[in-house]
This record gives sequence, structure tokens and C-alpha cells, in this order.
Amino acid sequence: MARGKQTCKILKEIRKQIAEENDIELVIEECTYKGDCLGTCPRCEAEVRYLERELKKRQRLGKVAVVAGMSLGTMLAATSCDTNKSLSKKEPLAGDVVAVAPDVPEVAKDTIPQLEGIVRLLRIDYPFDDVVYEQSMKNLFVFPEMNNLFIRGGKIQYEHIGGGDAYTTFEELIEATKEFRAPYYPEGEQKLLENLSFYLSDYKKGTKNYNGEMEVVFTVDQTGKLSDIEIQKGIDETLDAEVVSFFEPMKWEPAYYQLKDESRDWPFECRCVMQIQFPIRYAETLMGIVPMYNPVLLHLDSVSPEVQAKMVFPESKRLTVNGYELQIPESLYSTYKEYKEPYLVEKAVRIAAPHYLGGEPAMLQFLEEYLGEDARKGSREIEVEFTVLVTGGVRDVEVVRGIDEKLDAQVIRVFKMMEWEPGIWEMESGEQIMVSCSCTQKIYFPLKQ
Amino acid sequence: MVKARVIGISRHRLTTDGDGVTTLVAFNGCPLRCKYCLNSHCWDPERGKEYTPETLYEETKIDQLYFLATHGGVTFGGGEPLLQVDFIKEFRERCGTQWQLVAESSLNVPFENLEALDPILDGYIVDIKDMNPEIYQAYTGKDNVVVLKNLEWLLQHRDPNGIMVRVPHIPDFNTDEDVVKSMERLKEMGVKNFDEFNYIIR
Repeated sequence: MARGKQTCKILKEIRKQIAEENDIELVIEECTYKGDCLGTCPRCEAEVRYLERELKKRQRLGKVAVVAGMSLGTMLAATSCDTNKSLSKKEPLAGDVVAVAPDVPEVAKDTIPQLEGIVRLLRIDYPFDDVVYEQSMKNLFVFPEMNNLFIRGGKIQYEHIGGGDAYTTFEELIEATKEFRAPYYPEGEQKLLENLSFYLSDYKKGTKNYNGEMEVVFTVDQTGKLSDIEIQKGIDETLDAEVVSFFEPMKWEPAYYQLKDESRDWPFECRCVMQIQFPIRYAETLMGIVPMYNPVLLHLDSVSPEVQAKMVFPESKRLTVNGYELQIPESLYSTYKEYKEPYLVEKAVRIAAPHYLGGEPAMLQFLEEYLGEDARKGSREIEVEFTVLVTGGVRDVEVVRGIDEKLDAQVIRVFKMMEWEPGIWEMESGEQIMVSCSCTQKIYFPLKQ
Repeated sequence: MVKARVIGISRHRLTTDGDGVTTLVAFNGCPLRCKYCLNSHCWDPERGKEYTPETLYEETKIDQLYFLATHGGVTFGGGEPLLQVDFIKEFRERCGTQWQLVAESSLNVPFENLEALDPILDGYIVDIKDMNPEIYQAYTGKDNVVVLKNLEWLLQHRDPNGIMVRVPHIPDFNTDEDVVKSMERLKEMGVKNFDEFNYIIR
């Protein structure tokens, strides 16, 4: 069925574009599925689930998920003329419906291996490799609320009762599995980081004096108990030891896998790696501002005069704003249903640009502290472009007009460590919408004290 | 609990029902009895699988990524979707504002149905059959008074760009001239998007 292959090709292209727009790693493989294709198959569907999970992760980290705006027109135009004809609007709409009976699944039954007999627990002690586990398994893994957790290895145990084939190979297990769920901290990663931050708050004035990425490796057994905790990549001997003692008494939700033909969850032992970025940042709820929840994204390419007229720059004299990404909480959807720029701008009373707590002097002080000697270099102004997320984190840092490669790289490094107050749109109704903001900051070098 | 019988769900339709990747949901039940109907089993009230707005949403949301990426969504057809007012309203509540919901309808329904559903629909695909009342009656077994009234209202009430009118060449029922006449009248009414096509007789 040429039509099915054509559809599959286009859907694959859409998935590829989504992955590219959002920096998601996606392995594009040639489809080897033989037989009648309806445009989708278990592999393609698994890819969609994987993309959805990755996008959710990014949204939780405050990143903008770019999904809208893929032009089907260009994708269709890129395909051959013959197949284009078959997709033209002149086809009778009703005709296609006749072919699909609602009680027959879209994908032919024999592509999913059937479980014969009852499965309970079969012992397969399969260690899977390293942090990069097999692609097929990777696509089936979900990480509830843990964005910085990876699986290093695990032991799956299940036994088979009754007649029929048992699973004796890893490949067969993958085929029969619906989903693998990694272990997670019951209150979520953000809460874990918050707790760790408090735990360390007495230790050398908190975590702000440390920077770098720490890797904690540990085993979560089938009951959720942690053991064999090691610091694979450390920062400071005593800090590392403190982190280990924080992890020791923790109780996690163990890892589970679920088979396609059953709804029961089977726990399995898992060795995990958790990456912790120092200084520790977690999404805080700002006073009086509704936190992000199911955000809706509206991209304003440049700051229009109407927006500029309402802008204020608290404590920032040398900052300009390049653009906004509005993330409207679900509770405000009905109010801002239209969310087209002119409408929103009209309803905004005040637009506060992001600012560094303590003002520009504090920001310069931070820069000086972390640049060290480099702070005394240079003899002119540089321009740094960056995005301040609603969580206060900084990303996409670029030195637009710099001094020299080495210094510019250091400036970028330090900017990424900063914590800013995000931009806020105050609407006519009194509500406040948090905003991710693209800014340019001018800084004169050498930095004076 | 609102229920409806669905005679078929067709996923991954590309540009046949409007923008983007769409899923077609065909309802059971239609007021017309067209001679060349391709879905005549929708006249049998027992045919199809029963869904609630909840279960239909659960089934269609697997393609949400494509809907959001390509400005697509669900096209309701059948059968006559505008007979399922409560069902579609509740479905909209479940799927949210970003899915494009389009109705593929004959518009041969009570005006109240159209008025009730219009606020939550993003577009329409209207198969007009023929504008000539005699031809319409002969082909469908019903008159088109209500169709014309509904279409007029629709064209005044909404952006005509969101309404696609399909004008078929119906063998043995209308001629090429009839089709030209229909299109002229529709243009006068304000229709902007046309799809002129041929009916297939099975």
C-alpha cells in the first residue's frame, strides 16, 4: 500500500522536525516493516511517546517546547507528484471510513507477539549496559518526574507459569513490554533538590559556593531501598560525603516494567545515575505568581512599540529586551483564549523586564567573583544576549560583541550560573503572567569594584 | 453520560479534512438518504461502537503531537455529526482549545444544533449536493430549505475562509451546468472555498 508508506514518511518527517526544533536526540531508521502499512506501526508509535516524554521534561525545566508550525504543505510538496495526486482533496471523504471498522485495531495483530500462558516471574538476570542502553529499551523507558536520572543497569526477574513460550532472550522481553518505569523520588525531583539544598544549607553557607556537575550512582532495590551509593563525579571531598549521607536513608519508588498483555507492574532492581548541578537550582513558586502548569506558548519575535511603552526595568539600566515567550497558566486560559499579540498587549498594564536581585551592581559583583583575573581584562563594552526562564535560570547565552574568545567563553560560563528574577506581565485583570525573556546586557570591561 | 455510536475512526489523514494531520471520526445516524452514500451503514442504528466523549478522547489523543505540530485535530463526520451536539461539546471540553475540530456536515439539521456547536468548532466542510431544490430532493430524499438557511447564517456569522463547500458531480442526478449554477449561487452567498469533485458509484 503505497499510500500507507507515504503517510508514514510524512509523519516521520514531522517527528524529525519536532526533535530538531527541541534538541531531542532521535535516531531515524529506515522502516523495515514489511506488509500492509497504515501509516503507523509500533515503532513509530513508540517514537511519538518518546518525543512526548522528552518535551514534557523540557517544559518542566522551563524550556520552551516548539511543536506548532510544521507545514504539512511543504512536506507534501517534497514528495513525488504521483503520490501527491492520491492525497489530493478530490478523494471522497466517506470512502476511507468504509475501510476501517472500529473494532479492528489499526495495526495488524501479528506484529505484536502474543503471550501464551500466564506470566508470573521468570528469572533473567540481564545486565543492560551503561548509561546508553539499547535504543529499543530506551524508547520504552519513562522517568516520572526525574529529569536528571539515568539508568545504568538492572535485573529483571519474572517467572512463567503454564504452557507456551517463556521469554529467554532480552529481545523477546522488549517485544512483550509496554513500558519500563525508572525509579523515582516520590515527591519528585524538584522536591529532592530542595531537600538536599536545605540539608546542605549549614554546610559552608549552602551550595552556592560550589559549581559543577556531580554524579551520584546508587542502587534502588525492588522495595525502593537505596544502597551502594557512590559519587562517580565529585566536587569536594567533604561535600561529596555529605551528599552520600543525604541519599542513604531515602526511600524511593522502585523501578517497574509492565507487559503489553497484562496491567500488572513488575518491580526490578535498578542502578541509577543522578546528575546534580551545583549550585542547586529548583523551580520556586514566586510570591503571588501562579506557577507554570500546562503552559501555552506565544512567541513574540520582537518587542513592539506598544509593548515597549509599558515596559519597566527594575534595577537594570543597561539591559534591553529582545522578545518574550508567554507561558499562560491553565487557570487563565479562558481569559486569554485569544492570545494574539495585539489582544494581550492591550490587556497588559505593566511589563516588568527580568532583573538580577540586588540590581546591576550585584550582578557585576557576581561576575567579578567568578571571572577572577579575567574581570580585569579588556577595555570596552561587551554585549551579552541571553534568555531568562520563568524559573530564573539562564540559557542560550551568546556574546554578541566580545573582546576575545577566551574571555567571552568565561563570560558565557558565568552567565549560565546566574539566577535572575523572571519577567512578569501584569494584566488588566490584576493577574500576573510569568515570562521567559530574551535580553541583551551591556557590560563594560574591565569590571570596576 | 452522553454516548454516541461511531462507525469508524480513521487516523493520520493528511489534508483531506482541512489543515494538518487529522483523525476522522464518523458518527452513526444521518437525516439524509443519498442514493450513492458511501457510508449507508450509518443508517442502521445498531451499527458501530459506542463511545463517550471521554473514551473517544482517550483514543484520539495518541495523535495529539501531530495535531499540535501541524495545526490538525479531529474531523467529525459520518453520518451527520451536528446531530451529536452534547457529545461534541463535551469532547471539546476534554481536548482543550488547541485541537482543530472540524465538522463535515450536510447542514441539514435544526438550526439550534448548528447554533449550539458553532462556538466550539474551528471549521466546516459542507457537502452541498446541489443547490437546486428538485435535484437535492431527488438525490437525498429531503428538501434543502434548512441547509440554505444554515449556510447563510454560517457565512454571515463566521469567517468564510473557515468554510469549505464541496460541490459534487452526481451521475444521473445533476449535469455540469447544474454544478456551475450551484457554484455561482454559492459565490453570491459569500462562499470562498470550493471543492468541485466527482461522486464515485460503488
